[in-house]
Amino acid sequence: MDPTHIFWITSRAAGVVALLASSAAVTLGLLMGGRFVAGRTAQLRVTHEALSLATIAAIVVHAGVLLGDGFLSPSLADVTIPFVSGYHRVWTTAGIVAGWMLIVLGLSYYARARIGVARWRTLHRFTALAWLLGVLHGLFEGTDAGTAWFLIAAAAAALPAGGLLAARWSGPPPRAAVP
Amino acid sequence: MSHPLPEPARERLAARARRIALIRRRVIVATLATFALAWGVIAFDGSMGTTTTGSTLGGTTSSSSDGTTSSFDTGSAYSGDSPAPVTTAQS
Repeated sequence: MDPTHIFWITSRAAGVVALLASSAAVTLGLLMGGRFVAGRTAQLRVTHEALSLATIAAIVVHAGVLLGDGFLSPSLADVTIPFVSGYHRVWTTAGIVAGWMLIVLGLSYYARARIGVARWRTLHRFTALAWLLGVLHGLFEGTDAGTAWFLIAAAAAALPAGGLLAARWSGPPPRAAVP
Repeated sequence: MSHPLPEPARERLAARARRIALIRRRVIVATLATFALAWGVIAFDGSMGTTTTGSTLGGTTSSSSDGTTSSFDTGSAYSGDSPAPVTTAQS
């Protein structure tokens, strides 16, 4: 294998991990916030938090490793600032916005006392929107989006979250005791 | 001054901490395993994409050490918002 491809492959693999981990985190978050589980919310919350941190780490690797790619040679601005990159501008921007939202909203959990729990909870709902943007980024820009393995894995992870999200948006408001 | 917790409460807290640590470890292991698996599948699959762009990002077709021209793609499809695409062979 050409060693110059290592950064490219690593970035793609990290993107896949970000997609799967964020989908699992959103699924658990929606399960906790809805009336689907009872009794195990403490364990689910720990798993949800760990998956969120894994998502953030994967996003940082996904974008950061790309800086080492000798072919694409993106600048830091290309991978961090919306609309700067000319490469698939719309979907790259969707990915950048999704990444920043997931990072900021995810880490805001640790500042919720300062933010105010009610305000934080309102903000936290935008995580679903960030996740949706990330899924679109992966599907419409991802190099692996045309492969069966990617589509199967993405569907297995994203469809449950999408179903729960649709149920949440079409159903009654969630109970208040969300983390 | 804080009072020491009674033994049963300490045990419950320790058990809870162990459960949390176990869950975190499992998530870390699952994440790393998924990353390794995805990396392996992508590398094994061998596809670096199908086209390369004229590149607005400064990428160019490069020559490899064996003298053949090669490049790899940065996406699955050309988006059309940058200079004309140049179709190349897979490296």
